[in-house]
Amino acid sequence: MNAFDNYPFFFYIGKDEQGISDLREYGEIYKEHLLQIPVEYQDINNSWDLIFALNERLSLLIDVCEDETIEVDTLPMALQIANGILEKEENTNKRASISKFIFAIKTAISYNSPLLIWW
Amino acid sequence: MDAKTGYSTLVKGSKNATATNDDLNKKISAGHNRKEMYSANWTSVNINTIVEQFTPKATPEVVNGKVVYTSSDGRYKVFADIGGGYLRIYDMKKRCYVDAFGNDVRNYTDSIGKQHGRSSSEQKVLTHFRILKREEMKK
Repeated sequence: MNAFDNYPFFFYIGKDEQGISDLREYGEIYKEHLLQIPVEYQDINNSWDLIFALNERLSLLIDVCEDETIEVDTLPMALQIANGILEKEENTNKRASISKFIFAIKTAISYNSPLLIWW
Repeated sequence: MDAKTGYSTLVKGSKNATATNDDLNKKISAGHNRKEMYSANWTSVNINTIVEQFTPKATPEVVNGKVVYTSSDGRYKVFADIGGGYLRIYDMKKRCYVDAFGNDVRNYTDSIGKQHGRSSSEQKVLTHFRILKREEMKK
């Protein structure tokens, strides 16, 4: 039994203007206009190199038990950083986990929404 | 041993481990930075009181830069940040962080009975608690 078993980890993306507004102001409480992408604890543990790189290079504070937002204008740089980490990663499991982050970043870009990391 | 002593011992051990564990060092630094940036409006709590109220007799675990206490029925988790010296209380049943009384703070009811959502920043202030230092607990 891990301390984080059954604890929810999500990415949130605003699906429309209302969703983006709700996401910015209220986080995950108004879900009707938000796209929710679940992420496994193991994926987070496999992705610390990426998390540290995002925190250091984009002045973020991504962490478990906290929420953090990657703004729209920062998402392309986040994607570039994530792709760079993925290219260097040789471990198959870690590559799969980092790819889930990349999917979330790309989805946020496609909606022109910030990416709320709700852990 | 009370929760404060256990927490302080685990914090000390984790900080000593950062000399040879760069990942842990970064996680602890992030908690410290979060406290520096946001703690001005957080209220302070006695960790002994919080652990006794929500997760009595829990054995703490150190995971990802946090000291984690889980209640015997699994409903509550207390996450005490090692680098930041603060804690949060998560209610697995309500699926949200709660205040020091176990209340869901995501919404509030105004004087005429209408319900409103609290902003994300307001929620954070109400669900982050600075852990009192031992000397402060005596006051």
